[in-house]
Amino acid sequence: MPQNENTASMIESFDQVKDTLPGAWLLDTRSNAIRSFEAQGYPTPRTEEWKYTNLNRLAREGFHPASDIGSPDVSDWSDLRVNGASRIVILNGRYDAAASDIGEMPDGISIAPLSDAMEDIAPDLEGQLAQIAPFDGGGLVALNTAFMRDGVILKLADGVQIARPVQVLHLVDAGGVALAVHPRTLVVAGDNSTATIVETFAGGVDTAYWTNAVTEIKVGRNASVSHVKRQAESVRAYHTALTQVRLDCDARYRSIALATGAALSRNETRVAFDGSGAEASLAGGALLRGRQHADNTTEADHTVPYTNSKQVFRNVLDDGSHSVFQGSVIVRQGAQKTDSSQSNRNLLLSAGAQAYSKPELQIFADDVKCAHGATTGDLNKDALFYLQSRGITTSQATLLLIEAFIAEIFDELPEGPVGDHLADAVSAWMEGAV
Amino acid sequence: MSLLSVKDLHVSVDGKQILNGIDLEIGEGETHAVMGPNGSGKSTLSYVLSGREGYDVTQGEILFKGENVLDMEPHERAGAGIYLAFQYPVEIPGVSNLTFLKTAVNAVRAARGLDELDAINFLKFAREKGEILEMKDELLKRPVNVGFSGGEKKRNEIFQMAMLEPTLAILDETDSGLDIDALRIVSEGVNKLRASDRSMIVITHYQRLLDHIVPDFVHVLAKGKFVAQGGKELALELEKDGYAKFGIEDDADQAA
Ligand SMILES: Nc1ncnc2c1ncn2[C@@H]1O[C@H](COP(=O)(O)OP(=O)(O)OP(=O)(O)O)[C@@H](O)[C@H]1O
Ligand SMILES: [Mg+2]
Repeated sequence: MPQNENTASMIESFDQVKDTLPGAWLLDTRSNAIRSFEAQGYPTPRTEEWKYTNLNRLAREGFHPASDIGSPDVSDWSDLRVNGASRIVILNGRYDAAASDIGEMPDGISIAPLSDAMEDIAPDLEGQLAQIAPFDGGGLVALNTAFMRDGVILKLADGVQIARPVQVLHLVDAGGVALAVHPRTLVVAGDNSTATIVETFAGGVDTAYWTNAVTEIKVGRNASVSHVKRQAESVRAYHTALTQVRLDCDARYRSIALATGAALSRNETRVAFDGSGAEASLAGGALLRGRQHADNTTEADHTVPYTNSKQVFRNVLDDGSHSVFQGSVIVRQGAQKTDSSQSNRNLLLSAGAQAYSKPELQIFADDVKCAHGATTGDLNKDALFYLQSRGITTSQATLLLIEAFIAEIFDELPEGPVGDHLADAVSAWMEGAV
Repeated sequence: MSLLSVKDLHVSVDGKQILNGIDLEIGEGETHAVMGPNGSGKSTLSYVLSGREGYDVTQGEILFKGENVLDMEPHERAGAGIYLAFQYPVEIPGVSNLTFLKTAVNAVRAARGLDELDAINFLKFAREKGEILEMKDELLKRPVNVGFSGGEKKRNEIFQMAMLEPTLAILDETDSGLDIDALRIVSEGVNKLRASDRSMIVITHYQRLLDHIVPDFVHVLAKGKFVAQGGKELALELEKDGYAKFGIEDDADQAA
């Protein structure tokens, strides 16, 4: 059964803050969600899906949503801005208008902080918010639904292309407060539309905090959404996130999620194929050291014929860090001609590091292609010596080999500022690497 | 003073004794051929000179330009001017040949007190050296040795040698895997790289390479020891009569 005490304290804080949360029309949903959390509790390793990632410590930390924490200076994080992007800053779980810069948007695009949207355009959100990722999908999405206060809503009318990427910069710096934030992002891309969305997470190192994010993405017919995530939370933070995607006919969704931060992180990406011809490419991984733990869990649920999914995950693990990759591919009866591939490779830089890899294929159709592979190994000693014998120092050689190892997750990364944003994440990690 | 001076070198790998007292003096500008049956320790010698991990020197010393090489890391030896053309070049997926070469060239330049080459000058330099070896441009863009044919890999080894401008180059069976034309191009390339301030150790099984790269001295290695030394005519004798007259059993016994 759920960890009752910890669950109870969450329910208590919900009762305290529920009337301060935006969008009165959502109160029923929130109340139902907290009841669902009460029933589901925090996920535990007793469920198969959470076998390798234990939230026990997180549950015991007693993180809570704070009513008001003031506004710390965000200029320290200016390096995390994607140049030229339309930027929305969510600071300590709330929209920070001063730090944000949405800029001019062409017709057919609506972009707004969720807190405003929940008050102003409620009818527009009804039937979409919390529908793509319903709260009964797990204890964490239930909590997020109950407590969600801010985030971003991005809607594209049919045929609209946004040239500028949209960046949502989530920052937490709550002084001494053990803060839990539950940001929610909703992206609805109309037919034939195109958008690039970047989610960046970071925070101050003074105290532990918890980011519990939910991102809902609906991609219309023949529309295309690129989704880049850089998780650079403080090393004391907990980060749990669910991205739930629904794809219509011929829709394309590409995501690259790179984690270098957080003491413990879980990045869950689930894609449901509603229309044939749709394609999803999920790439990502983690660069870890110390005692960091990063979990990437994916699900590609093929329900209709002629859909493709591709998953490429790479983890680089130093010291005593741990990575988890659980990649599930479901090909339902009738989802003929599904083409899916999955590859997970892990590079261990230290004897104390550990990588868990669990591919899971459930195939109920016969005319399909499903490839998967997983490997875990050390740095190639022969390659290392070859480089050294050409005058390259051990640390430079190690960096070259690490870069080469993770290169494949960036295959579909657009060039320019968005690409640089992830390249920066890699170099920042490397600078502390050897 | 010799450029390289190896004295009474004993080396073991995983507790197994492989080199049993090697003495070798190489002067500036000299080319030495090292021949010997499979498993006699030729590659082991080349690895010990270039500093590969796992080779324990249990006795003896190696001096390069008067300095103790055994105290130096592999990259320091490369910077000091030692270069090994591998018998089996290593494939490195994900690292482009160009990135690799640029990093390497600038690393040895820094070690030798020279300025880094910028992108433009590096490319110019690479083109120039590539022409000597008739390297296809396309090979430069590919990951290091990945998808290279056996011959292309060997050619790439000598191309790197041209780029890194060593004072001592060790060529470990550079001729194996080369077709007749490639053998000619590669050995002509090597000959162009011969200089009064560049010495070479050419490890080979065959006279045909030494027809192109004519050595000043020939050494015969067997069971981890030199058993015969002489001029270039020694290689011709070996080609004709085999190793038997040096009291060496044939390969099969060696390997056992
Ligand atoms: N890591 C190792 N562990 C044990 N024995 C080894 C190891 N490396 C080399 N040897 C042995 O050392 C001996 C010498 O090997 P080496 O590669 O130096 O021979 P070689 O003269 O270069 O042969 P070839 O002409 O076939 O290239 C061989 O018997 C080989 O099996
Ligand atoms: Mg050999």
